[in-house]
Amino acid sequence: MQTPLDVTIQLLAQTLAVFVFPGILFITFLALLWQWVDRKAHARFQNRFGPLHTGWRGILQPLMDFLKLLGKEDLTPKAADRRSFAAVPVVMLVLSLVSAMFLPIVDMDPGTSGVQGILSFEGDLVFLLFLSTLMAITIVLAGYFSSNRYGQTGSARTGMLLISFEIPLILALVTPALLTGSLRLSIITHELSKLSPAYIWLMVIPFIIYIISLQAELERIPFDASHAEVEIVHGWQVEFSGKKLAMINLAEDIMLMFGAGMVTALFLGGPLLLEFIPIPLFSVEFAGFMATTWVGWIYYTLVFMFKSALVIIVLSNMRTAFARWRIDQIVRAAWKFMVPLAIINLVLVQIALVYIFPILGVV
Amino acid sequence: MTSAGRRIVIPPRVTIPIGPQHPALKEPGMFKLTVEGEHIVDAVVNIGYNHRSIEKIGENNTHLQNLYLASRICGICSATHNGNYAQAVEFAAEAEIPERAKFIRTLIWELDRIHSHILWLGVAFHEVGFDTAFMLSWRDREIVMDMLENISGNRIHHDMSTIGGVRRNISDAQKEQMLKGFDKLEERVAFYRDVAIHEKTFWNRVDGVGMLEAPVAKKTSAVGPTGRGSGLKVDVRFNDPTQAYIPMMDTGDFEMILSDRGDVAGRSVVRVIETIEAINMSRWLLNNMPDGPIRERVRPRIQPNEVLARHEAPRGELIHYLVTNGTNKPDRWKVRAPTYNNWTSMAHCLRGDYLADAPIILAAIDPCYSCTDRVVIVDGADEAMRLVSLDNLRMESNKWHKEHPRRE
Amino acid sequence: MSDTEAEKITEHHPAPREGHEVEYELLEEIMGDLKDSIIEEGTYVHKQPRRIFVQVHPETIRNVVQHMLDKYDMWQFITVSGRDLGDDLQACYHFVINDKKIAITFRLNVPRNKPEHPTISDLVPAAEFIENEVRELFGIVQIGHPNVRRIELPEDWPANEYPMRKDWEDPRRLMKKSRTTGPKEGV
Repeated sequence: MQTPLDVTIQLLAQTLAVFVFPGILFITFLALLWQWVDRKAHARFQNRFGPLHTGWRGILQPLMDFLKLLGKEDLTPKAADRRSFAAVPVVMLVLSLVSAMFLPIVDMDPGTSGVQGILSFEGDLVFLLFLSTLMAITIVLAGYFSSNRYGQTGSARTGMLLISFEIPLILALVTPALLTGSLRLSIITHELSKLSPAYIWLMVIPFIIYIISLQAELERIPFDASHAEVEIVHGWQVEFSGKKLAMINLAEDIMLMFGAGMVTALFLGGPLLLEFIPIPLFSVEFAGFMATTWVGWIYYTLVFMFKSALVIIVLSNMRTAFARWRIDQIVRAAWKFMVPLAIINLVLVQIALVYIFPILGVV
Repeated sequence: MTSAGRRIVIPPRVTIPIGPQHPALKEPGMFKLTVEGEHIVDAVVNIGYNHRSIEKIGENNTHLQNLYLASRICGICSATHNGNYAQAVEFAAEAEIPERAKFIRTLIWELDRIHSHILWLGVAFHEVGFDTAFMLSWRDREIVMDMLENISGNRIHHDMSTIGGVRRNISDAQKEQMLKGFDKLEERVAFYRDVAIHEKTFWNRVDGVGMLEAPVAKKTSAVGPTGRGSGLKVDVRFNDPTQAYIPMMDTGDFEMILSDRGDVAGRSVVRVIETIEAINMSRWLLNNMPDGPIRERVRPRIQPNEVLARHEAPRGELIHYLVTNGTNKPDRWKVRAPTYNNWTSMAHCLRGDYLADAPIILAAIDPCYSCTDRVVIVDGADEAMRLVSLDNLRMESNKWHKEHPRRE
Repeated sequence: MSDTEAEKITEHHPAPREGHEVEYELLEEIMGDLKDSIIEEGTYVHKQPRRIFVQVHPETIRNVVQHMLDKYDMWQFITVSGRDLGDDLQACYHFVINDKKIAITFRLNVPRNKPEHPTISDLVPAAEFIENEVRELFGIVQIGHPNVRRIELPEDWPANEYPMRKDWEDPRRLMKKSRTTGPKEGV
């Protein structure tokens, strides 16, 4: 029996969840923090210091950059399609925020099993892939709307890059879905944590494919031919300035945070850490305690952040270790190496599930 | 794109300007690239954005003043311009300079080459997006910069050569310090050589890119590492030695670095191996440096004469054609910086390559724009020529912004 | 006039034969082959090692360069230096014969009122930029240049203003105004 007061409190709590934690504010905070981690790690790998002055070791530098950009003059090229040009950053930001809300950071719905994100429904994995493709189209359009030659070249490259790497990305996601028989992010995370350790071997190749494709999706070195400041002056971003650029940068950071979160959720066990220790104290009692009380919120958040930070450092290490590829080399690498590898991996997983695991007796 | 619609070109040809202001260029230059998709089908090179009228100014200056003006032609290879002008004046005056001065001058030239080549290596890494190697190589460039600062007092404009010798001597302590530095430097440069050759992502970006075949290089008179990367034997140090290069080449320990690849990779390899060779040369110069005075007095009035002083700058052959007329000022002073000759081959290198390769091809000749454009006063056509000060510029921009309010 | 003549003669420092045998041998070969094109005065081997200066008739520069290209493979082109000699303008074509390691300069004098000579840019493509530059700065016109365009000067530079000539006065007194070469007038 719900009183109006209960309904109001519930509504308030949900609003708070969407806007503050683990919603928009938290996602933004995390995105800026990951940008700092990325910049700092990248700088240290390059024998530099990175951000140093704003806050503790420059931890507030991304926030300062964002605020500074908000105050800068906002120019629109005369030849640009003005309405679409202004819409692109907003659309990008909204798309990235919506995607990030699917991440299973804390358990928003204790009623169902597994850690649910703010948004969660059956088949949300497909919806996320759809969103990321929409994002790619937005980027391509952004370049064309700016009516700049660098921008157009950049968006053409972005189109080629994203078309090439969407496919291995999707194929890499099929493996976890196949192992758990679900297309729901929270269920996949939950079911994967219950599988026997032998299944880790099946996850290695998709994990590598996914990390590489993710680097390409985020347009970072060695796949940043579409930005390439020495050739086409930051590609499709070239005409954006001021508030629009701030929004685009934030959207990119959120996409980075989302990508790292997806790796965490699908391959690294989501927000669970101590639960994997095969002692009843941890795997039953501790897990139960965390899943039901408010302490779990803090614990899950910290574990999730820890794992994401590891992924970010791996990504920035990749960024450090390579030179930029040419777009034709990228496309060739995608179609000659990544896509066949992803398909072979799927076949291998099938063979392992149907023939090998029953022989070995793995459940 | 065309309104006529009779001629259908697929994909459309787009002209992409690289320059005059562009992140790939460190100095102003203009390269109009016509691209079809990602392929460059045509390239037009346009230079001349940075005139400083140095030759005209030089005709009104004394030789001693010109020495320092010459070193300001270029920041990176300042020692070569400075030293080459000094040796041109000495040739014209038919003055012999002390042996030790020759050795110190040559040592400065070789150190200049080392730092210029490492700088180029960093820029090349940056142009292909390999920022890590760029940062690290520039860190190690500091070793040679410190050496130059140690012996000349300046990091960039060393101005070591003067007419009749050099300005400063090298002490034994400095010599020991430098020999120690060379060991470290050699180790690091050997490491970058291996990085450049074995790092696949870098090598893929330079292998077969920007082909300059030997016949074309001959036709366009490529000089320096650009020519040597195409297998042309052009190295003034070996072909026309002056100063301490004469005894150095007599030992026969050193050889010209050549590559017959003809692409950007060839030029890179030539440069990196040349750096190691330059380190060995510097070592030889330090170990065999004779004692004695470092400067000979030369009378400021130089007899009428015409000389063609050649010297191998880091970027290639540098020419100072000096005509003296019996006064202390030159009658005509012509500088031909190495980059000037390499521009001609640029359009050929760019054609047929990818747009993404344009920056590394441009960087591969190690262009030095300010060396190239040094001739004439810039000035508009209108009679009321204005020298615009910073304040005026600011006022004008404020006015413009008032008239054109912010476009939302 | 006589001053410049005297000056011009003293500018040349012919070398003694010993120590410069290779250069003299080459010069005599060239003078034998191109008798009609070469002016004796101003043709000599310089005291500096490995330098030859040759004075040629301006209209024969193409023949000379073509001959040198064919016979000695003189592919390495250095530069063109313009000079203002008063009544005449001079263009010095510097080349290097790489096999013999000798730098050779072909000088041609053109009268100031009609400064024209045939181009060599089609024989030596490397000369394209610098010939344009000499045309801009000295007003020496290379007839038949394949690609006439501005190199150094602005596009709207007035005609008949050749800044590197000795008698050129900057009409706007820019050199006088500038901070480095003289007192700066109020801006």
